[in-house]
Amino acid sequence: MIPYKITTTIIGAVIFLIILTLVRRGKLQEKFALTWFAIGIIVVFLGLFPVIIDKIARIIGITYPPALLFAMAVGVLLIQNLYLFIFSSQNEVRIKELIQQVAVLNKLVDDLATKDNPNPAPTNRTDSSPAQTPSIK
Amino acid sequence: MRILVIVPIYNEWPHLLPVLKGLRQHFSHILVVDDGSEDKSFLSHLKHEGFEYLSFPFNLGHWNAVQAGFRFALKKGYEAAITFDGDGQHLPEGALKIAPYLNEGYDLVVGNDNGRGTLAKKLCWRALNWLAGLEIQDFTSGLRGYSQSTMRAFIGGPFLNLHYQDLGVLFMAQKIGLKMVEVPTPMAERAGEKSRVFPTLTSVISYMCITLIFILARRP
Repeated sequence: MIPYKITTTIIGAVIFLIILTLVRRGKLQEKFALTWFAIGIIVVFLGLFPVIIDKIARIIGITYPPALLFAMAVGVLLIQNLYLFIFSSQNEVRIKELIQQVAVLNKLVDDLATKDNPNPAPTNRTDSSPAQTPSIK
Repeated sequence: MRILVIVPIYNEWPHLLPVLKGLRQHFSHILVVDDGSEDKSFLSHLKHEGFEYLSFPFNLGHWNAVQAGFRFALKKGYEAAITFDGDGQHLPEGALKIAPYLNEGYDLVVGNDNGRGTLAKKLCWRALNWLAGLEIQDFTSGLRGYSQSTMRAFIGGPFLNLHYQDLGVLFMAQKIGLKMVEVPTPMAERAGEKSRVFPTLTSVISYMCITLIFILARRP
């Protein structure tokens, strides 16, 4: 039987490596990478020295140390998740405002285009993408 | 006073043209806002008929279409706007009743229709209304008049976050102290088969919950 310290070290190292690769490949944006990096470092640290958890648990009066680990894990995940929801809400509002503005600008550009060129070639405008707006010559 | 009539639509093409033609007899400035309808081919019909329109690449919701209309109205310097549903439910006479109140200087004019909806629905609405402490009775009405300053206030900040055009908007309007009035307006039976905002029971329940949370989060 291998000592549990080796198992925890390996798990910690693997999680850290996954985060590192994601950041390196640019899949994780830097601002998210920061917190994930911190989490990775903590995981490696706890993997190398699992005794830390036992000690902290004793200091703050928790008799069953793994409970502290799980509580911490749940807490961190909860905060991360909440942050994601806030981020997503912000993005939705931004996207909505942008689309509204694009719709208005599209219309104004079209009006200008038809004013400059009263007999425009029949463009098959579908309004689905800005790239298809008739160009002003 | 230059008034723009904003007609937000979503997949309502079959009913739309008669509605627009009826409107054109009374109002010279009409803007259709296509809220990401699946079939875009009707836009060329609109162009052919000489109606102006905005178009979203995908569906954002009724209130967002209205906001885009506001942006256009402000850019073009309109002094007021009236929102008018494209499904044939609103009558041009209703919009005509709204216009004089805008002239009088009201910030927000709501076209009231009391004869609509089932009893259960009415009870729910009454409860929400009481919870929110609104002065306006018919907060679901889409037939409304907005002054220029109201439009300017309504395109930014917290108003971008709203999911529905009705209670949330009026609640915020009351909070910032706009001068509001409710006008009884005649309305027709809906030409479309189903309500656009509430096609299913689930959508009604989700609307109730979202609105309830909205009120609870913002009531002083």
